[in-house]
Amino acid sequence: MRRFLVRRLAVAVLVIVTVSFVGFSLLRLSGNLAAVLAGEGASPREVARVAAQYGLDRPFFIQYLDWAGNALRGNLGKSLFTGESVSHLIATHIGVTAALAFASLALGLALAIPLGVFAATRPNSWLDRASLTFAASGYAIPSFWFGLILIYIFGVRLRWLPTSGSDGWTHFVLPTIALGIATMPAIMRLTRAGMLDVLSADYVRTARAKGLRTMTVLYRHALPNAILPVVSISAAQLGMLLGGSVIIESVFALNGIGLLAFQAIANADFPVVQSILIFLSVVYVVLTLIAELINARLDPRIRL
Amino acid sequence: MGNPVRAAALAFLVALIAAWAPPAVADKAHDTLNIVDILPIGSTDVYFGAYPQTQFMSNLLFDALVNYDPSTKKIVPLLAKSWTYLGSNATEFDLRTDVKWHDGRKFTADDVVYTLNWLIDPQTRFQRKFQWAWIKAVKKLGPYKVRIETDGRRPFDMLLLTLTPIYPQHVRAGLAETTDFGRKPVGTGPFKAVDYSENGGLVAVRNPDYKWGGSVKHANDIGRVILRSIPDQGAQISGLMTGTVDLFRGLPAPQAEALAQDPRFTLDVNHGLGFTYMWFDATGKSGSPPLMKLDVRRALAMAINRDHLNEVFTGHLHLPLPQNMCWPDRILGCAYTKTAQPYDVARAKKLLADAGYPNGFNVRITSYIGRLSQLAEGVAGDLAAIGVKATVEPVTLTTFDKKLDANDIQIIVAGNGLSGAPDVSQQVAFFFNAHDRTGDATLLAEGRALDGEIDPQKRLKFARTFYDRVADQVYLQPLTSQPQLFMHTKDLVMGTGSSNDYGFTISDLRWK
Amino acid sequence: METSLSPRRLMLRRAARHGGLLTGGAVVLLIALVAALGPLVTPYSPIAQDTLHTLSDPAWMATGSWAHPFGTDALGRDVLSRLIFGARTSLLIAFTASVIAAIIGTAIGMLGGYFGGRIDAFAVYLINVKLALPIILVALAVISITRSGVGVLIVILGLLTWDRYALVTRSLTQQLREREFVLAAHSAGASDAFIIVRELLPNLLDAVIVLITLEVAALILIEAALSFVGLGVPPPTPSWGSMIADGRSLMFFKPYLVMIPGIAIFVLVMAINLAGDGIRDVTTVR
Repeated sequence: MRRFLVRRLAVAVLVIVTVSFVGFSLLRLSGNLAAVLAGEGASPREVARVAAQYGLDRPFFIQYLDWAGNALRGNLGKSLFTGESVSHLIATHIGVTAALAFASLALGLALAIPLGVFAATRPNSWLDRASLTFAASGYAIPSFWFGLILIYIFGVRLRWLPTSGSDGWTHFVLPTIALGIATMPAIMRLTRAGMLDVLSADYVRTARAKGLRTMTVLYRHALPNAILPVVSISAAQLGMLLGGSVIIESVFALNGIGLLAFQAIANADFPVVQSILIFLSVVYVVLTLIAELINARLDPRIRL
Repeated sequence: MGNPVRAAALAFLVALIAAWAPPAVADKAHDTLNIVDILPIGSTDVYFGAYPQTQFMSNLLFDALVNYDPSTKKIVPLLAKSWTYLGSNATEFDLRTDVKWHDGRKFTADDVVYTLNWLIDPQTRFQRKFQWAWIKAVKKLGPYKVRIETDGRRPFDMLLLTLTPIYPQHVRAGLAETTDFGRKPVGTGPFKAVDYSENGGLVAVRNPDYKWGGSVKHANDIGRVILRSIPDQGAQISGLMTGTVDLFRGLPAPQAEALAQDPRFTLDVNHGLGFTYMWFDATGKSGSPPLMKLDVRRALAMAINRDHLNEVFTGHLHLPLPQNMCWPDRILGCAYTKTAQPYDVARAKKLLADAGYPNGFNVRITSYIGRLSQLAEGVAGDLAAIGVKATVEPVTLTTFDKKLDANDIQIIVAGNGLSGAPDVSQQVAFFFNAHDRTGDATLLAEGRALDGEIDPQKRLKFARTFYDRVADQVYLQPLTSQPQLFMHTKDLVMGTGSSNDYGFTISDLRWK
Repeated sequence: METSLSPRRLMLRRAARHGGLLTGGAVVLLIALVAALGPLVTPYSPIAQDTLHTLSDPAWMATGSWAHPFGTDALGRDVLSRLIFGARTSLLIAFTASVIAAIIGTAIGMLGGYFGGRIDAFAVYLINVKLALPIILVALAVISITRSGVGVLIVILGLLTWDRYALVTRSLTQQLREREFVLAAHSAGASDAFIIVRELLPNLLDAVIVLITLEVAALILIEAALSFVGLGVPPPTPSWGSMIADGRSLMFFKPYLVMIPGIAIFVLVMAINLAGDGIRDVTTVR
C-alpha cells in the first residue's frame, strides 16, 4: 500500500508541475506583458523599464521558477486589472463554484443511481432502454441553453426562483439542475453495469431466498458492492464540474471562479487566468488521487 | 427503509416550497435605487477603474474642481468657486471653504495638491496616466488656493479637469496599496459609500451635508443607491421584471422597444456624444493592401446602407445619422463641410472594379463583443453584396487594445463616446494621436494645429480643415448614432442630456 | 442457417433490429445529408440581411409566413438557412477535430499499451496531464490569445480531447498483445511497427469508430458552448451556439430564436449518442 501511494503521489506531483508550466507558458507567450503593465500610450523606453522592474526580461525558465517559488508560498501574484491578490480572488470565489459543483454532483447521483438500479432490475426491457435514453438526454441538452430555459420558466414566468446572483441557496437551484443533469448518463450506466454484475452473485440470491424485500436487497446489499466504479467517476465528474462551470456561471451571474476566469480571459488578466487554470488542475489531480486511493482501499485487486 | 428516491424528491420539494419567498424588492417604497451593469463593478477609483460605470460612481462619490454644464456648454464651479487664467501656462483656483469629506474632515488645498501630484508622479502607475500629462506642476498658495501649471493652455484642459476627481490626502496617501482606496472610498460627493464588494457591488447613501453641487450636481430625493453587476442581459431583464432591478443600460433597441411596451417599464434615450463608425487601416500594416486605395475605401463605405443599420440598431427612435465624426450641436469645436459617403451599391461595385478588385477581396472586421459585433455583422452583410467577403472578429476590450497596438486590425467597427469630454481634441487624441491608421502626415499636422488652438473661431476653421480631410480620404465612414438606452421602472424619472460617459449621473434621476 | 453466417452478417442483423441505432442513425444521416447539400437546399443565403423584415415570426404562428418557415433574426436573416449552415459548420468542426483527436490518442494509447515499461509510463503521464486540464477554460484562453476561426477551433479541440481514445486503445492493446496472433507474428519475425499497424490497429477500429461517434457529439456541445460565449465560429458564419447567444436578450419576446437552435443541438447530439451506443452494442461480442 505504501509503495502504491508513493508512486501515485509522484505521478500526481509530476502532472501538477507539468500543468503549471503549460499554464504559465501559455499565457506568458500571449503578448507583451510589459506593454500591458506600462499602460496605454507608454513609450518603448517606459516599457523596457517596466519589463526590467517586473523581471520580464529574464530567461523564460527563470521566470517560471520564480513564479513557482512564489506560488508554493501562496503568492500567486496580483490581478493586472484590479490589483488584488490572486489568491485572495480565488479564495473568495471558490466557495460558490464548489457549492455548485457538489450540488450538481449530488443531484446527478440522486437521479442517476436509482435510475441505474431500476434499469438493472429489468435488463434489456423497453423500460431499460427508456431509462438509458432519459439519462442520455440529460447529457444531450446543452447546459447553457437549458439554463436559459429554466431562467425563463422558473425565474420570470413563474417567479419561483431568483434568476441571477449568488446571495442565497435558492440562487443555486436552477444552475444545479442545468449543470447536474449532464452527469446522469455516465453515472447511470456504471451503476447499471455494476448492479448487473452483482445481482447475479450468490449472496444476492441468498438474500432474496431469505425473503428480504426487493428494495432492501437492492439498496442495502447489492448497491454498496456495485458502487465502487461510481466513486471514482464521481471524483472525475466533480473535477469536470468545477472546470466546466464557466459557462453556467456566466448565464446565471454566479460569482464563482468560472466567471472570474471568464472575465480574466476577457481582460487578458494573465496572472488570474493561469492561476485558476492551475488551481483547477490541482484540484482535479487531488480528487482523482483520492478516488484511486479509496478504490485501492476497498478493492485490493486494483493496486497494480 | 423507504424508497430513497421518493424521500429525496419529497425533501427537495418541501425545501423548495419552504424557502420560497417573494424576491427582495428594493425600490421606491424602500427608497433604494437598484442599478445594474453588464460589466463587473470595478473600482470606484476612476484612475484605476476602466469601465463606463466608473465615471458614474466617481460622480456619485467624488467631486472635481470644476464641472461641465451640457445645457450651457460651459465650465461651472464645483470644488473651486472661481479661477483666474494667468497667461497660457497657469491657472489659479480659489477653493470653497465649506466642503467636508464623508468622514467629517475638512477639504483643503492639500487634497488638491496631493491628488494632482499623485497623477503626475513618475512613480505612480496606472493605465491612462498620459491623459494628465499636460499638468506640469501644482502649487499650494494658501489653505484654499492652488495654482496649476500646464504645458500650454488649451480649452480641452479644463474639460479634463472636470473628469479629475479630488481625493483625500489624509486617507489615500497613507495606504500601502493605493488601489485599496477604490474599495473603501471617502469623497466629497452627494453620496457616500457604506459598502463595497465584488458580489454585492457598491452601496451608497445620500450625503446630507452636500451643498456645493451647483445647478448641475443638484440634490434629488433618492436615499440609497446600489450598483451591482449582472453580467447577462437576460438576467437583467428578468431582474427588471421581478422588481429587483430598477435601472440598467445597454439593451439593444429592438429588445428595449419591445420591453417598453409593458406599462411598468420606461425606455429613456440619451443621444450621447458619440457615433458608430467603420475605420479603415489605410497604412497597409495590418495586411490588407486594398484598403490602402482611396477608391476601395470609398467603395466599401458606399456599400453600407446606413439608414437600414440605423433602423436596426437604434430601432424606431429615428435618430439622425452622423455626417462626420462629431456632432456640431453638442461637441465643442466641431465643424465640417464634407460628409459621409452616400449609399450607392452600383457605384460602389464600379469603383471596386476600377480599382482592380472586380471580384472583391477578403477582409477582417474587428469589433467588440456584444451590440457592436452585431453592427459589424450588419456591415459584413452589406459588404457581401459588392463581393467583399468580410469575417467578423468579436473581441474583448483588452484584446482589442492589444491588436490595435500591434497593427493587427484591418477594419474596425466600433463606437466612440468621447469618454465624457465633449471636445474635438478628445477625438483627435483618440483617433489620430494614439493610433494612427492613416499614415497621412498632412492630416496629423492639421490635427496638431486643431489641438493647440485656443481661439474658438480659429478652432472651428482648423476643425473644418481636419474633418473635411478625413471625409475626403474616407479614412473613416460614420455609421449610426450611438444612443445610450436605459430601461427602468416607471417609478423613476430620468433626465437625458448628460455628457457623462455612462450616459447619466445621479443628479439626472429622481423618483416620480 | 444462422450458424453459417459470417460475424459481419450477424452484426448487420443485430443492427437491423436495434431500435436506438436505427432511429439515431436515421436522424444523423438526415441531418448530415441536409447539411452536406447545404447551399442547394437553403432558401436564402445565411448572411443575407433583410432589414425590413427583422424578427419575423415562424410559420406556425399567426403572424408568421412560409417565406421564412423558422422566422428571421435581428438582422433579418432567415433562421432556417442559418440552421442548416450551422449544421454544416458544427459537423465539420466536430468531425475533423474528432479525427485529429483519434489519431493522437490512438497513437499514444497503442504505443503505451504495446511497449509497456517506460514508454507506457510516459503515455500514462501524458494522459494524466491532458485529463487535468479543464477543456473549456484552456480553449477559451488559447482562442482569446490567437484569432478565432474554424481552423483554430478544429486544432485546439483536437488537441484537447484525445484522452479517451488513448485510454481505450491503451487498455485494448494491452489485452490484445498477449493474444496468439500477436505472439505468432512476433516469432515470425515481424517488426513492432508492422504488428502495431497491421495486426493490432484493425482490431481496434471498431472501438475507435464508436469513440469517434460519441466524441463528435461531445464536441458539438463544446463548440456550441464556445460559440455561445463568442469565442467559437466567427460571425457572420452561423453556428447554433452563436444563434442562441444572439437570441438570448430577445428570449422573452421572440423565444423561437433561442428554442430552435437549442432543440437542434439536442436532437443531433441525442441521435449521435443513440447511434453510437447502438454501434457499440452491435459490435461488442457479448
